[in-house]
Amino acid sequence: MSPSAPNSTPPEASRGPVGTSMSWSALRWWLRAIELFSPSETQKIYLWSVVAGILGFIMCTLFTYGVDLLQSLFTMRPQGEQLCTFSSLSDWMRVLVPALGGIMAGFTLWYAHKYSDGKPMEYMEAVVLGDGHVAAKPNLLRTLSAMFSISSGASIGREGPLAQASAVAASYVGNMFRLSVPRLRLVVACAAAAGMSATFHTPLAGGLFVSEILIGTLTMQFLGPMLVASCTGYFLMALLRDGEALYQVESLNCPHIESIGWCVFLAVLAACVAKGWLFLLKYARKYLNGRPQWLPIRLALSGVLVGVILISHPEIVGNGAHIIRKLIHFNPTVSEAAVMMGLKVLAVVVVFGVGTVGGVLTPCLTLGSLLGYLTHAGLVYAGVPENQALAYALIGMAAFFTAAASAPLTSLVLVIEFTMDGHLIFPLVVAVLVSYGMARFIKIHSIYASATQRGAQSVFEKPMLKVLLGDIASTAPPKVDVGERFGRVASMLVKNPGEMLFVVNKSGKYVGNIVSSDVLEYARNEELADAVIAMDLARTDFPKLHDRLTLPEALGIFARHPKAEALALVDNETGCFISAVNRVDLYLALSEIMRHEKIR
Amino acid sequence: MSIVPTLKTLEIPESLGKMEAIAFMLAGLDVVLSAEQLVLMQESLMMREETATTYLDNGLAVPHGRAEGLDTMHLVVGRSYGGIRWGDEGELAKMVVLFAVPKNMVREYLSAMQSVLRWYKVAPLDADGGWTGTKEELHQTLASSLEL
Repeated sequence: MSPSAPNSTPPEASRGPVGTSMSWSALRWWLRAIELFSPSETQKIYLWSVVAGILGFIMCTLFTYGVDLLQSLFTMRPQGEQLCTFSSLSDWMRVLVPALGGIMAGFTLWYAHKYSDGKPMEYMEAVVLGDGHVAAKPNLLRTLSAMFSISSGASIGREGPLAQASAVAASYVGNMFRLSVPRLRLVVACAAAAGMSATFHTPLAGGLFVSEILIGTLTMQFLGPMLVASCTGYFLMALLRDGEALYQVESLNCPHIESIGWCVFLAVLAACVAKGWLFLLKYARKYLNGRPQWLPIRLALSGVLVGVILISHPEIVGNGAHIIRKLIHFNPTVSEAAVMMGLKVLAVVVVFGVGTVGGVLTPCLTLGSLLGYLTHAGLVYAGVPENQALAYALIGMAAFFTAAASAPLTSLVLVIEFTMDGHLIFPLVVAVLVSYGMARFIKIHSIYASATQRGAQSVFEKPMLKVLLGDIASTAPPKVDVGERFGRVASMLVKNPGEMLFVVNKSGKYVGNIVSSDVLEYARNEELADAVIAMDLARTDFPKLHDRLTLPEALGIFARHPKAEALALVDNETGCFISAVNRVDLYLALSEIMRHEKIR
Repeated sequence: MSIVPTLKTLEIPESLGKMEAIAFMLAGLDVVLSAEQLVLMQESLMMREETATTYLDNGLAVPHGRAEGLDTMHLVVGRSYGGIRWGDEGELAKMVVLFAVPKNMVREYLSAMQSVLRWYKVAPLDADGGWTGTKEELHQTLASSLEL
């Protein structure tokens, strides 16, 4: 600043803002962009759900390629459709492959139990119970174990491990960005939803599945991000690989309106059978499962059983998708369908019971469709003039899964998206409603209830008044020292677009907030770089939250200050800055806790 | 709260130290600030000075403080022919612009600070940063720069 050179810039300013290698001109453009496009906290959640959707798709693709590769190695056949591959095998290979897969899956699972530091946690537990942190090693080992089982033909679904792998990826990325607990849980749930939708090609049902079954709420606060994630996962799948409906039907005879009573009958029957099915699974897990060191032997023996079944009925291989396709496209005889149902129940109960990692969604859908198919056959046999076997199979599928998972909306949408046929909407709605009512009446607990009720209890399980603000606070709020130069403050605003900076003094006490809208307009002026420090920019008209406040009290403070997206959390006694509590995170936490309290 | 700052110009006695000069300039606001506000403002100015020096470059110092109860920003410009020892390394401030700012006024403060710094860049100064014009010219050009 010399009088002889009036337009010269200070040396510091000419180098660029302190703490960043950006030039002033680049900073100016960047700040202008931030001013124009700076997302709100809610928008950030939606952006995160897009990221979760991408992660879900990536993990789905890796999982599918991995399973195909392992199947090819196990069967020594080129990669191809599972039923065709297993049908081409000799009898002894049909027994050997599932047994070998069982041994490898068992050893992997045993290794995960024995040598992993972190406790394996189902993705459901991470979403519903935990703090969103899904330990990578044990959970990826579980996923690998599931890949061995699935690729060797075990009768188990793939949606569970796939959603788990997606959740691991989302948890890892979310931790990298130090997301707060409520937000991390939501991102993990979004990734699970995206993994589901990419696997089943169901953009709506993927989000509904997680929102309705795991989180237990269908408010837009949760459902919105879930749907964005699941649509992203589906979009990428359809764009880059295959988005066709899994069980597309060419022509579907819809039951007549006067036959709706038979749909009600089927729904009641489905609920009763679902109760028995859940009973079988529960006791199979109780009596067939045991010490982890016997896992390889147990899984190998279950593989032998599946292999023996595959010798005569190769369509039993895998999760049951081949059976559903057979029902849709080949009209099997009643006896064939009955035998398939019996064998599938046996295979799933044993494979699931011995402790195989995998999902039960597709097996449930398979049994439901077989039940509907057989019910239709029974009605025809009894003289009821019906000719809608396929429609009954689909209605049975929806009704059965509704009762088994306590998820009427997910079941309804799942079946419609599977078939991409809306003709059945009315009988489906009737069936899922009746089935849901019947399930409540005969006190069926959701198949996912045990997975969502065990494991480490999260902070959201506590009564509302016992949850501390620190439990939901940001892990790394942007804070600056009072003496920090303006250039450094500007660069921090660049790194944390749209966020407030929290100013603390040398002893760590909270001083005030720097609001980006106050500063951004002037952050482009290098004259201020050395003249102004953070202390000069801090506003003190924002309230602070004491660490002893309850969540409802904090909500009251936020309600009185509608412009505050985040407030400082300070120690009640020392006044030292602890962290920051975000308005959106508070809303998410309150919603979850209120849901738990409602359940209690 | 008014966003138009007030401006006062005065001569600073050469014998004063940094803190005394600040107190002297602040006393120039006794007509517009109450005794309590003056005390608060002085504390704020001292605290700011302790946190980081407000000496900038080429003989310019911009002490600034913020306090509750002010209804607008007040600027006091002082010039010292001999200079006041101000910077961390004993630099002499020949031009001192004191900002007394309402507690939560940020944007207007930054705008005024920017105007003062731009004004100083093109001001008629000698090699040591001393003002070469009259007191009236000083007041007039700065007021014009602040769009008063």
